[in-house]
Amino acid sequence: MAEPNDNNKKIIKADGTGGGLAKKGDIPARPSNPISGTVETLKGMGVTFKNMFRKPTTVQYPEQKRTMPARERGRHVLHRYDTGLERCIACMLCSGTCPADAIYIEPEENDPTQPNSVGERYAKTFQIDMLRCIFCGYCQAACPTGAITLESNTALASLTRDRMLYNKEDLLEPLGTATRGAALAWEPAPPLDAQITVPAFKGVFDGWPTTAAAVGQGNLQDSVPALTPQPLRTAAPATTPGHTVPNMLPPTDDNLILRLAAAQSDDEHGFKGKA
Amino acid sequence: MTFSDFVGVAIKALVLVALLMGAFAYMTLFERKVVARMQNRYGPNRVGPGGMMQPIADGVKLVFKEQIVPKEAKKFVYAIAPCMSLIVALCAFAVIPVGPDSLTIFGQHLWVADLNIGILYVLSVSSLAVYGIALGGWSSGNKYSLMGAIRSSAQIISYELALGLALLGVILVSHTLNMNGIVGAQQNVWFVIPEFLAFVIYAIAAIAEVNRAPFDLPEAEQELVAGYHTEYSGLRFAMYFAAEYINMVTVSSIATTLFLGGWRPLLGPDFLGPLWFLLKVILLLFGFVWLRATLPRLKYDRLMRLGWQVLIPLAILNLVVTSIIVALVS
Repeated sequence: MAEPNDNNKKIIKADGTGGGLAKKGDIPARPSNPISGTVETLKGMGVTFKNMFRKPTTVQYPEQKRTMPARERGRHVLHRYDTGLERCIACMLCSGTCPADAIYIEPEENDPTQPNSVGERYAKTFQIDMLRCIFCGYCQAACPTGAITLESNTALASLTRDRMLYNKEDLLEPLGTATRGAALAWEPAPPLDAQITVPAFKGVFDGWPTTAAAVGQGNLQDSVPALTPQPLRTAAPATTPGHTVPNMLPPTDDNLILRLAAAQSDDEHGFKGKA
Repeated sequence: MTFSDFVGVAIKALVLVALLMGAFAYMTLFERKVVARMQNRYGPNRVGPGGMMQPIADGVKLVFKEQIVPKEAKKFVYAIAPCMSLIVALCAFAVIPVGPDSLTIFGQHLWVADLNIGILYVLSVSSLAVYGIALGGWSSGNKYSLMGAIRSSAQIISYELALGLALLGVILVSHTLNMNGIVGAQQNVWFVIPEFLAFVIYAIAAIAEVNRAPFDLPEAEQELVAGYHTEYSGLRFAMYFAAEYINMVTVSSIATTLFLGGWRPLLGPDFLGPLWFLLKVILLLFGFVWLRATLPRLKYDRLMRLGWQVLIPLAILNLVVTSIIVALVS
């Protein structure tokens, strides 16, 4: 074998057994110990044999279903208010934030006497291309009224592409139902284990009285006030935050439409202020 | 040989082929089920009760699939190579006695042929298996197929030596090449006890001979796609597949006949011999599956070293010791 050149001198083997290049024949062909080899093989076979009598971990899907987390992101659902009005006000935020450009909305002005939604506009067309959708949930996060949520239906399949184009009629919950869906699952405080916990260690470490800070876990206070859980995303506000945005949550009574109409006749800006 | 003898043998051969194809079909299901359970899965359980119809569904699928012939293939050899594999696999079973001499059905014994050179026949026919594989791999016109075929040939040739030498020990002890005679010689003690080393060598060599895990290098997916049958599809692939599984059944049957007393029952009357034979073969087949579910594939150099440097010397040692003992006793 030729002398190793300078560039190769510094190569050190990963196991730290010295430098230099591995020469041909450096590692001798070492036949493994037949006794230990046989024992190890038999041990392995014991493991597979033992596992044969375990209960399989398979979930037999169509018959058995796993309980999925509340925040599972499946097919979208468009929600309504208790009054039956659509939550969607065609603000286009979901469509704008969609990284896959899967949402197509055609807005239209509400007829003040017979509004479809509580805003000025409603979505005349609301299409989601499930072949484009990546189920990231940005639309749900962007929605100011909680109109679109990703629900737990993940069994989306069809024989044709155009069946994967979901229209407003497919997505909107039927009249008479007013659910909030997965929005509820996102609103409450984050789960306990997601909160920042502070190690409050104070005691004897390695024979010396010490604190968490002293053993390298940060310069921490002894006692930490309990964190107030912050919602990940605030819900659609229940009261008008100011007069610059439309009143998004209407009072739930049956005379809403009449009063909306009355307000419209009073004020050409319609939804400004309380109805 | 009279005409009626000929008809009898022909019918028995047909029944044997049908049985072996059925055994192949349900061996695939057995293997999938057992491997699945060892991996904490259920295995096929959708087609029919407990997945019992799965092999039939698979068979229908394979038969109706398009048989693609690559542009570079040598068409004639490409077409006949899988047939060679399958025919050879089916032939080897002919001399294996499934039942005792006293048990006849319509005056026919439970074997197709009672050759006085039974073992030689089995060895020579099973050596032919390499032709189907080598020719199939070569004629596909695909480098992966060729590599798989070369590996397979080298492996089969290497392990055949150890296999034959291991069987020689049994022949020495039983003083006959006839399969019936060998089963007869195991009246008092099965040869697995006096010839235990030969049995172990035979078992290892047989696994290598039929290209099963952990010696399935000709089909190493990571390196060779699917080895020699990469380019085969449809019915031709099914033939290779069938040949592999029937070879497993055959080597298990040979091991049963030579080492485990053949049809000889552990207890109970002789006429239940075929059931005992089946039980022993199934146990050995379970061993095949068990090994596959447990052991990773060997490196190629290790495979060759094991064959030439371990198994063959051990087999020769076994042969010498057996010869000396047989010479001293007789």
